[in-house]
Amino acid sequence: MTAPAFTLCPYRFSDDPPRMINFLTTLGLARTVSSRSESFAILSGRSGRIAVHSSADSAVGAEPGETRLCFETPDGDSARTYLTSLGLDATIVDEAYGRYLHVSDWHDLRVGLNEEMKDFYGYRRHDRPGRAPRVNVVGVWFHVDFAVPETVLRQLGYVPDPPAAAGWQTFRTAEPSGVVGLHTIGAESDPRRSGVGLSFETAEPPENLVERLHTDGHSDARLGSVRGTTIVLVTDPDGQRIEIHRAPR
Amino acid sequence: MLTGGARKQQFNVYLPPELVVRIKHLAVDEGRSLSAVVETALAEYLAKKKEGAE
Repeated sequence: MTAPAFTLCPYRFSDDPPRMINFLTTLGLARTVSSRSESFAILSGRSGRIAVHSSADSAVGAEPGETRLCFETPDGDSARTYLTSLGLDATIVDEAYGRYLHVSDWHDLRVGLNEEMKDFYGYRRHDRPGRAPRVNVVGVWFHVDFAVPETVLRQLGYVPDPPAAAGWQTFRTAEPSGVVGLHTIGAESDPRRSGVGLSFETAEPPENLVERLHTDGHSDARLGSVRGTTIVLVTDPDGQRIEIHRAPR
Repeated sequence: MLTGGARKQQFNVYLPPELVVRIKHLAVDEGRSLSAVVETALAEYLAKKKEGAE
Protein backbone atom coordinates (compact mmCIF):
# COMPACT_ATOMS: atom_id res chain seq x y z
CA MET A 1 0.00 0.00 0.00
CA THR A 2 1.43 3.38 -1.01
CA ALA A 3 1.81 6.00 1.71
CA PRO A 4 -0.57 8.96 1.35
CA ALA A 5 1.00 12.42 1.43
CA PHE A 6 2.40 13.38 4.81
CA THR A 7 3.60 16.97 4.48
CA LEU A 8 6.05 18.24 7.08
CA CYS A 9 4.39 20.93 9.21
CA PRO A 10 6.33 21.47 12.44
CA TYR A 11 4.65 23.53 15.16
CA ARG A 12 6.53 26.51 16.56
CA PHE A 13 5.14 27.71 19.87
CA SER A 14 5.81 31.42 20.17
CA ASP A 15 5.15 34.11 22.76
CA ASP A 16 4.82 36.59 19.88
CA PRO A 17 3.15 34.81 16.94
CA PRO A 18 2.74 37.94 14.73
CA ARG A 19 6.51 38.65 14.90
CA MET A 20 7.37 35.01 14.17
CA ILE A 21 4.91 34.97 11.26
CA ASN A 22 6.51 38.15 9.84
CA PHE A 23 9.97 36.63 10.21
CA LEU A 24 8.95 33.51 8.27
CA THR A 25 7.36 35.68 5.59
CA THR A 26 10.65 37.59 5.26
CA LEU A 27 12.46 34.25 4.80
CA GLY A 28 10.16 33.57 1.86
CA LEU A 29 7.29 31.48 3.20
CA ALA A 30 3.68 32.39 2.37
CA ARG A 31 0.87 32.53 4.91
CA THR A 32 -2.01 30.26 3.86
CA VAL A 33 -4.25 30.13 6.97
CA SER A 34 -4.45 32.27 10.10
CA SER A 35 -6.75 32.68 13.07
CA ARG A 36 -8.73 35.87 13.63
CA SER A 37 -6.62 36.66 16.69
CA GLU A 38 -3.30 36.11 14.83
CA SER A 39 -2.36 33.62 17.54
CA PHE A 40 -2.11 30.86 14.95
CA ALA A 41 -1.05 30.60 11.31
CA ILE A 42 0.13 28.05 8.78
CA LEU A 43 2.80 29.16 6.32
CA SER A 44 3.81 27.22 3.22
CA GLY A 45 7.20 26.93 1.62
CA ARG A 46 8.17 25.55 -1.78
CA SER A 47 8.04 22.26 0.11
CA GLY A 48 6.87 21.83 3.67
CA ARG A 49 4.85 24.07 5.96
CA ILE A 50 5.19 25.60 9.42
CA ALA A 51 2.45 26.23 11.96
CA VAL A 52 3.00 29.10 14.38
CA HIS A 53 0.99 28.69 17.57
CA SER A 54 0.76 30.97 20.58
CA SER A 55 2.66 29.36 23.45
CA ALA A 56 0.21 31.03 25.87
CA ASP A 57 -2.66 29.10 24.25
CA SER A 58 -0.79 25.80 24.11
CA ALA A 59 -2.76 22.86 25.47
CA VAL A 60 0.40 20.75 25.56
CA GLY A 61 2.46 22.91 27.90
CA ALA A 62 4.92 23.93 25.20
CA GLU A 63 7.50 26.57 26.10
CA PRO A 64 8.00 29.74 24.00
CA GLY A 65 10.45 28.93 21.24
CA GLU A 66 9.77 25.20 21.39
CA THR A 67 9.21 23.34 18.13
CA ARG A 68 7.40 20.03 17.80
CA LEU A 69 7.43 17.69 14.84
CA CYS A 70 4.14 17.36 12.99
CA PHE A 71 2.90 16.26 9.56
CA GLU A 72 -0.29 17.07 7.68
CA THR A 73 -2.20 14.57 5.56
CA PRO A 74 -5.10 15.34 3.18
CA ASP A 75 -7.49 12.67 4.48
CA GLY A 76 -7.42 11.23 8.00
CA ASP A 77 -9.38 8.09 7.12
CA SER A 78 -7.01 7.13 4.29
CA ALA A 79 -4.02 7.83 6.55
CA ARG A 80 -5.49 5.68 9.32
CA THR A 81 -6.12 2.80 6.86
CA TYR A 82 -2.53 3.07 5.61
CA LEU A 83 -0.96 3.24 9.09
CA THR A 84 -3.10 0.33 10.28
CA SER A 85 -1.91 -1.71 7.27
CA LEU A 86 1.62 -1.23 8.65
CA GLY A 87 0.53 -2.77 11.95
CA LEU A 88 0.34 0.56 13.78
CA ASP A 89 -2.41 1.45 16.24
CA ALA A 90 -3.81 4.68 14.78
CA THR A 91 -6.94 6.43 16.06
CA ILE A 92 -8.69 9.51 14.67
CA VAL A 93 -9.50 12.17 17.24
CA ASP A 94 -11.77 15.18 16.68
CA GLU A 95 -10.68 18.63 17.73
CA ALA A 96 -12.15 22.10 17.20
CA TYR A 97 -9.80 22.83 14.26
CA GLY A 98 -10.28 19.45 12.60
CA ARG A 99 -9.02 15.95 13.21
CA TYR A 100 -5.69 14.41 14.16
CA LEU A 101 -4.35 10.88 14.31
CA HIS A 102 -3.05 9.46 17.53
CA VAL A 103 -0.50 6.73 16.80
CA SER A 104 0.05 4.97 20.11
CA ASP A 105 3.30 3.36 18.89
CA TRP A 106 4.79 6.87 18.47
CA HIS A 107 3.43 8.31 21.72
CA ASP A 108 6.82 8.89 23.35
CA LEU A 109 8.26 10.44 20.18
CA ARG A 110 5.84 13.40 20.14
CA VAL A 111 5.19 13.13 16.41
CA GLY A 112 1.93 14.91 15.53
CA LEU A 113 -0.24 13.90 12.58
CA ASN A 114 -3.02 16.32 11.60
CA GLU A 115 -5.60 16.02 8.88
CA GLU A 116 -5.44 19.14 6.70
CA MET A 117 -8.04 21.70 7.74
CA LYS A 118 -11.36 21.37 5.94
CA ASP A 119 -13.59 23.67 8.02
CA PHE A 120 -12.15 27.18 8.16
CA TYR A 121 -14.73 28.61 10.55
CA GLY A 122 -12.93 31.19 12.69
CA TYR A 123 -9.90 31.18 10.40
CA ARG A 124 -8.85 33.24 7.40
CA ARG A 125 -7.52 31.71 4.18
CA HIS A 126 -4.91 33.70 2.31
CA ASP A 127 -4.41 33.80 -1.44
CA ARG A 128 -1.22 32.35 -2.83
CA PRO A 129 1.31 35.11 -3.49
CA GLY A 130 2.16 35.96 -7.09
CA ARG A 131 5.69 34.59 -6.69
CA ALA A 132 6.01 30.97 -5.54
CA PRO A 133 7.84 30.43 -2.23
CA ARG A 134 11.55 29.62 -2.72
CA VAL A 135 12.14 28.04 0.66
CA ASN A 136 12.06 24.40 1.75
CA VAL A 137 11.14 23.80 5.38
CA VAL A 138 13.58 21.53 7.22
CA GLY A 139 12.54 19.97 10.51
CA VAL A 140 15.69 19.06 12.45
CA TRP A 141 14.97 16.08 14.66
CA PHE A 142 17.57 15.60 17.40
CA HIS A 143 17.74 12.02 18.65
CA VAL A 144 20.25 9.72 20.32
CA ASP A 145 20.26 7.42 17.31
CA PHE A 146 18.74 7.25 13.85
CA ALA A 147 17.01 3.85 14.11
CA VAL A 148 13.72 4.84 15.76
CA PRO A 149 13.09 8.13 13.92
CA GLU A 150 14.18 6.60 10.60
CA THR A 151 11.56 3.86 11.03
CA VAL A 152 8.85 6.50 11.57
CA LEU A 153 10.02 8.59 8.61
CA ARG A 154 10.09 5.60 6.27
CA GLN A 155 6.55 4.71 7.42
CA LEU A 156 5.53 8.23 6.34
CA GLY A 157 7.15 7.78 2.92
CA TYR A 158 10.36 9.72 3.60
CA VAL A 159 13.57 8.22 2.22
CA PRO A 160 17.17 9.22 3.00
CA ASP A 161 19.27 11.47 0.76
CA PRO A 162 22.84 10.33 0.04
CA PRO A 163 24.80 10.65 3.33
CA ALA A 164 26.38 14.10 3.78
CA ALA A 165 28.06 14.03 7.18
CA ALA A 166 28.43 11.85 10.27
CA GLY A 167 25.52 12.38 12.66
CA TRP A 168 23.37 14.15 10.06
CA GLN A 169 20.94 12.62 7.57
CA THR A 170 18.20 14.29 5.56
CA PHE A 171 15.01 12.57 4.39
CA ARG A 172 12.56 13.60 1.65
CA THR A 173 9.51 12.23 -0.12
CA ALA A 174 9.13 11.74 -3.88
CA GLU A 175 6.67 14.66 -4.03
CA PRO A 176 8.06 17.78 -2.31
CA SER A 177 6.69 17.63 1.25
CA GLY A 178 9.45 19.26 3.25
CA VAL A 179 12.72 17.86 4.54
CA VAL A 180 13.43 16.12 7.84
CA GLY A 181 17.02 16.14 9.03
CA LEU A 182 18.08 13.69 11.73
CA HIS A 183 20.79 15.02 14.00
CA THR A 184 22.37 12.78 16.63
CA ILE A 185 22.73 13.98 20.19
CA GLY A 186 24.69 12.58 23.12
CA ALA A 187 23.74 9.19 24.51
CA GLU A 188 23.28 10.78 27.95
CA SER A 189 20.19 12.58 26.63
CA ASP A 190 16.76 11.20 27.38
CA PRO A 191 15.51 9.72 24.07
CA ARG A 192 11.90 10.43 25.08
CA ARG A 193 12.77 14.13 25.22
CA SER A 194 14.23 14.30 21.74
CA GLY A 195 14.09 17.87 20.48
CA VAL A 196 13.14 19.52 17.21
CA GLY A 197 14.51 22.64 15.56
CA LEU A 198 13.71 24.65 12.47
CA SER A 199 16.01 25.08 9.50
CA PHE A 200 15.52 25.96 5.85
CA GLU A 201 16.86 25.51 2.33
CA THR A 202 16.58 28.32 -0.19
CA ALA A 203 17.17 28.78 -3.90
CA GLU A 204 17.82 32.50 -3.26
CA PRO A 205 21.41 33.86 -3.19
CA PRO A 206 22.35 34.01 0.53
CA GLU A 207 23.62 37.62 0.24
CA ASN A 208 20.17 38.75 -0.93
CA LEU A 209 18.48 37.00 1.99
CA VAL A 210 20.86 38.56 4.55
CA GLU A 211 20.16 42.00 3.10
CA ARG A 212 16.40 41.49 3.30
CA LEU A 213 16.65 40.21 6.89
CA HIS A 214 18.70 43.31 7.84
CA THR A 215 16.10 45.57 6.21
CA ASP A 216 13.42 43.82 8.25
CA GLY A 217 15.31 44.48 11.52
CA HIS A 218 17.08 41.14 12.00
CA SER A 219 20.45 42.80 12.50
CA ASP A 220 22.33 39.65 13.53
CA ALA A 221 21.71 37.94 10.17
CA ARG A 222 25.06 37.03 8.64
CA LEU A 223 26.79 34.65 6.26
CA GLY A 224 28.42 31.55 7.67
CA SER A 225 29.97 28.37 6.37
CA VAL A 226 29.12 24.70 6.88
CA ARG A 227 31.15 21.97 5.18
CA GLY A 228 32.49 24.47 2.68
CA THR A 229 29.15 25.94 1.62
CA THR A 230 27.81 29.39 2.45
CA ILE A 231 24.77 29.51 4.72
CA VAL A 232 22.74 32.27 6.41
CA LEU A 233 22.65 32.43 10.21
CA VAL A 234 20.03 34.45 12.09
CA THR A 235 18.25 34.48 15.44
CA ASP A 236 14.48 34.25 15.09
CA PRO A 237 12.03 36.35 17.20
CA ASP A 238 11.71 33.47 19.70
CA GLY A 239 15.46 33.56 20.30
CA GLN A 240 16.22 30.36 18.39
CA ARG A 241 19.24 30.10 16.06
CA ILE A 242 18.20 29.44 12.48
CA GLU A 243 20.36 28.13 9.63
CA ILE A 244 19.34 28.62 5.99
CA HIS A 245 21.22 26.36 3.59
CA ARG A 246 21.34 26.31 -0.20
CA ALA A 247 18.59 24.14 -1.66
CA PRO A 248 19.82 21.20 -3.71
CA ARG A 249 19.41 21.75 -7.45
CA MET B 1 -3.24 21.91 17.50
CA LEU B 2 -1.00 19.33 19.05
CA THR B 3 -2.44 17.47 21.97
CA GLY B 4 -1.01 15.36 24.75
CA GLY B 5 -1.17 17.54 27.87
CA ALA B 6 -2.98 16.42 31.04
CA ARG B 7 -3.91 12.75 31.15
CA LYS B 8 -7.43 12.22 29.79
CA GLN B 9 -9.46 9.24 28.68
CA GLN B 10 -10.73 9.06 25.13
CA PHE B 11 -14.52 8.75 24.93
CA ASN B 12 -16.05 7.84 21.56
CA VAL B 13 -19.74 8.52 20.93
CA TYR B 14 -21.90 8.83 17.82
CA LEU B 15 -23.51 12.25 17.29
CA PRO B 16 -25.40 13.96 14.46
CA PRO B 17 -22.84 15.65 12.15
CA GLU B 18 -24.63 19.03 12.51
CA LEU B 19 -24.23 18.88 16.30
CA VAL B 20 -20.52 18.04 15.92
CA VAL B 21 -20.04 21.08 13.65
CA ARG B 22 -21.91 23.35 16.11
CA ILE B 23 -19.88 22.24 19.11
CA LYS B 24 -16.62 22.57 17.14
CA HIS B 25 -17.54 26.11 16.08
CA LEU B 26 -18.42 27.00 19.67
CA ALA B 27 -15.00 25.77 20.76
CA VAL B 28 -13.37 27.97 18.09
CA ASP B 29 -15.48 30.97 19.21
CA GLU B 30 -14.49 30.43 22.84
CA GLY B 31 -10.85 29.73 21.99
CA ARG B 32 -11.00 26.42 23.86
CA SER B 33 -10.30 22.85 22.90
CA LEU B 34 -13.19 20.66 21.78
CA SER B 35 -12.53 18.34 24.72
CA ALA B 36 -12.75 21.24 27.20
CA VAL B 37 -16.08 22.43 25.78
CA VAL B 38 -17.61 18.93 25.76
CA GLU B 39 -16.30 18.35 29.29
CA THR B 40 -18.01 21.57 30.46
CA ALA B 41 -21.26 20.68 28.69
CA LEU B 42 -21.38 17.18 30.21
CA ALA B 43 -20.43 18.40 33.71
CA GLU B 44 -23.10 21.13 33.60
CA TYR B 45 -25.72 18.66 32.37
CA LEU B 46 -24.90 16.20 35.16
CA ALA B 47 -24.97 18.97 37.77
CA LYS B 48 -28.35 20.16 36.48
CA LYS B 49 -29.77 16.62 36.61
CA LYS B 50 -28.48 16.15 40.14
CA GLU B 51 -30.00 19.48 41.20
CA GLY B 52 -33.38 18.45 39.75
CA ALA B 53 -33.29 15.14 41.61
CA GLU B 54 -32.71 16.76 45.00
